[in-house]
Amino acid sequence: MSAIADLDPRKDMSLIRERLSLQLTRGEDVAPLLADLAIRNPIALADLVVGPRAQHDTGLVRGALTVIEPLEQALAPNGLYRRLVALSKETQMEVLQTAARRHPTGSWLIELSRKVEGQDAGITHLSAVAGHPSFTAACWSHAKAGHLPGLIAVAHATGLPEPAAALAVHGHLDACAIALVRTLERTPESPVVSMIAAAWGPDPSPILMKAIGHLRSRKVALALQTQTRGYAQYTSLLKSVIQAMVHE
Amino acid sequence: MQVAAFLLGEPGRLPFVGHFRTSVQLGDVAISAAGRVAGSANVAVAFRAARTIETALQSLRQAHIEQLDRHNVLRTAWCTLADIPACDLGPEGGDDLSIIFTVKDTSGMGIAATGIGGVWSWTNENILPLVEGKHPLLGPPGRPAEPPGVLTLDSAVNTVVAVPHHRSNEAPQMSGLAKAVGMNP
Repeated sequence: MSAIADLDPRKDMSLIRERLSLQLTRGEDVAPLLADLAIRNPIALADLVVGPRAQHDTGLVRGALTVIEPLEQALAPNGLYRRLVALSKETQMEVLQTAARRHPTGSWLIELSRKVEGQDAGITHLSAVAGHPSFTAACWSHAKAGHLPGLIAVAHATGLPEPAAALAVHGHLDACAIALVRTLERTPESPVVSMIAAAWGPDPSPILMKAIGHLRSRKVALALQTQTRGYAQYTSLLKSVIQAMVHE
Repeated sequence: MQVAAFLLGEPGRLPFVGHFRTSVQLGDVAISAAGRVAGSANVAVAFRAARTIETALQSLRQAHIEQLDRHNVLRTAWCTLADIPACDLGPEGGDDLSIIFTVKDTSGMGIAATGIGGVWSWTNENILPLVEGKHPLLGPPGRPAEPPGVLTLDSAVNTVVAVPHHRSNEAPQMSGLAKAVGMNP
């Protein structure tokens, strides 16, 4: 039985708020209270958890994530998750992860990612949607927003070619070159060069030239050489670079 | 003596699947080609097919061409394309090939193509149609059995942009055209 089982959400909101506050002060789990309220009155739940008088408390946000479905029925996800992020710094990442998992195509995730992850914006969202059909669109959106370190990190973590292609399309050629190399470090056979050419244009030489400076191993250089067959001048240059490389 | 040919990219996030572009200078003859092959295949397959065509056309540098003029270079280019094994040109074996050649020598300039729906000259100021209506230069994709006819231009243009045959009713727009043809800094 929850701490508010004897109260009526339509009449006793002040008391409910007091009991919630007490539980939070004691460090108790508020999930049962919120679950009870979610069943009886989702609007009251939303007001309690993310309304103007909501407490800025880590426990409350964690509790809110346990009743996220009824909360989403009461409020638009964009505003809901933004509010949850504002309520507790400590739980921001958990909120972003939940948002990315539940709304992989949400365009508002781009801004939310920047707010939560700062310099590394995009990592959580893109990691959550890797393999999802919305991954490409999400990469494009993060590249447009200038989330370069995040895209490079995701290229390295997933070995997928889309982050590098997205960076090229949005004119971030240096970042694209780094992402290209990181992609091949993770997955040497990832079709990253062909994806860049398909997205940016049939002659990606400027990017390929920049990539040479970021090669850290012979193995990756060989992978790049395999992928750039057909660009004769470039592969010839790369061959010289590979011959001079020490690290396997 | 430079000439450049471009093919308009497709709509969407991957406009240049199977696109290729190359130029070769042979003495006083400059030839430039742009096109698309295996455009509905996956990016890796299309990429290989496109590079195969570029590599084949680059081999014109080593070709023995008697009497080096634009007519003979263009004819050799078509023969080079015809010699590529179909299995190297993606799932359609080259039946989906769109390509435009521009070729220029000291006596003039010509354009030849397959799988093209429209051709424009492109300068800093404007883009102007070079052919209109049911011109023989425009037609369905695929490697031609015989080298197709050549459009000879009265006055040379340095840059030409084409649209693929399946987009015949579209005209390139001046704004953002460089990006739309995959021409990057």
